Amino acid sequence: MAFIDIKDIGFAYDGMGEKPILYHLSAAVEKGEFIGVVGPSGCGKTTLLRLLSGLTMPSEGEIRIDGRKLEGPHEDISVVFQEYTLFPWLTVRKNVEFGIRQTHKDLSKSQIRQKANEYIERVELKDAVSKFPHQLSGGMRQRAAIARALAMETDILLMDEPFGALDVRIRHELQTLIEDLRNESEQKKTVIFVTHDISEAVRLSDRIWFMLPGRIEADLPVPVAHPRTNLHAAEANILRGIRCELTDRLNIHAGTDNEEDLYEA
Amino acid sequence: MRRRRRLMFISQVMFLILVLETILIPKVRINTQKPWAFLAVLFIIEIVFLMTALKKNKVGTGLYDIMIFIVGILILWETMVSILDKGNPVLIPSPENVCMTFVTQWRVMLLNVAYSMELLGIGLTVGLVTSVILGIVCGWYPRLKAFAYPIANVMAPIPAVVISPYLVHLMPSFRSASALVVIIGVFWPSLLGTINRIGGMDSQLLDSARMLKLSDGQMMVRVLLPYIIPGVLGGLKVTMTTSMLMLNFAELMGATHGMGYYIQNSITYANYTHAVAGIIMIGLVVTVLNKIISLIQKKLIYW
Repeated sequence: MAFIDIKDIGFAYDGMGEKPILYHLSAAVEKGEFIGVVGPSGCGKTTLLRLLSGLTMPSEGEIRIDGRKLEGPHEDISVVFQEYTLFPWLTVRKNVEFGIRQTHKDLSKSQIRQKANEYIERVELKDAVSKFPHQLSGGMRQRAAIARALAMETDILLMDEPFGALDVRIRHELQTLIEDLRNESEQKKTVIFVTHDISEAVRLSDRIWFMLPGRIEADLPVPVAHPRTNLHAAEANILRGIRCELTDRLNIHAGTDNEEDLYEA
Repeated sequence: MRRRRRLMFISQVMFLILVLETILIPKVRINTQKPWAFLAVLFIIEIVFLMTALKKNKVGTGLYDIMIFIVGILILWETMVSILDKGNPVLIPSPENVCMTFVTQWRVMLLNVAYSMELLGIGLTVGLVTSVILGIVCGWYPRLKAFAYPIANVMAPIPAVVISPYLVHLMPSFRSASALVVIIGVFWPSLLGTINRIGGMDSQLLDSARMLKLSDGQMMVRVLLPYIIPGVLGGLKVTMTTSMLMLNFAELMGATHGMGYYIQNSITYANYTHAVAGIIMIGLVVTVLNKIISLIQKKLIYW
């Protein structure tokens, strides 16, 4: 059985009639995989992530994490959202400590502080530990949010367009950070990463789910080793090919006038 | 900068005119007290104005406008009443006499202020604490919200002063009735506000907190409470001012102490000089309380 097993799930909001956001969606994720989720706006990427986080429950089907049915927010899952979701009344350190305290109830105060410092250092926010979120730039806030999620040391990390609101330079910087953090870890986290940015998905993912409204249209492996910098020509060509394929798929979708056709496809 | 200098010049010239007319021009109004208490008040106003103007580099022209307005009103009052003896001498007291009241009556006034403050403190604290706690609980549990919200919606707009005559008869003492008026006046609007604030909480912040697997108690104490504190403290000035209003109104109903009672009692005995002094005193107390609340806000809302 896969580490994350999505079994024939469907989801519809109340009052939306027959039209579901997701329907008969099945997928599997192995431990340590990095899955990128791309697709046009409104195809259900964020809904899928919310279902995986346990914040929303599927209308039908089920999700199993390591064999256990997901019935709400899970101790092995942390999430980084697009907007800055640090608690504004806590400093960077206290925010990170808050997360650790919840998942490592056996740790002493000094151990929690030590662990927080370790992760804050890893996201290069050492000089900002005592700052409040409003005193940080957008990139720094997102670094702090990533530090909090990583410090919880959960097996699964869900990221919902975490760099969507940042400029290109900071986005690139944080992509490198995510890649580095992943390569440094002995035990790789299982990451599901929703993004609008095809290049970002291709750079970071082991597999990419291309979604169309309600379903995963294609599951594309990215057979190039990490880190994906200074690549050989052959490797660069593979990535370019995947980027082109995803772009073509998006363009085809954008050219499809009748959304109902897509549901029936 | 030039505009500010010009306003400063105008305000200081007006201040000088006021001081000179108070000292030099003989008073036509009979029974006008010696002007030293009035002059002392004027100098206190001038010192506060100058300290504020000099301390804050970024002070706007509003401060100068306020000073010009206050001094203008005082010139008008001094000229029309003390110097020209216009208006009913019983109903419109001279500024000298009103200011002298603060000197002769300070013990009585202080006692009444203390009494009002005690009731205000009790009412405000009980009303705010209970409404915030209940508001958080009701805001968090949908079923409780569905129950409490419509009730709060109906109760909040009813002015507590409307039921104060009834409460005076209902409660065992006037003191408890006054406190209850303030509690009711604070409770419903604050409960409604707290439920609304929880309902309007940023959904991603809430999801982020949910993902930390907090218990309901932890969620309420460690997330919802700090989240709503800025809103509660932000509305505290308005809450305090309306509470003061409700309390003073309640004190008109037959209290034996308090600022409302002091004014009512003065009017009953046609001592309008004391009544005007009492009204000014309430204004001063509210101003000082607002200043204290601002300091608390700065201290507590550091994020």
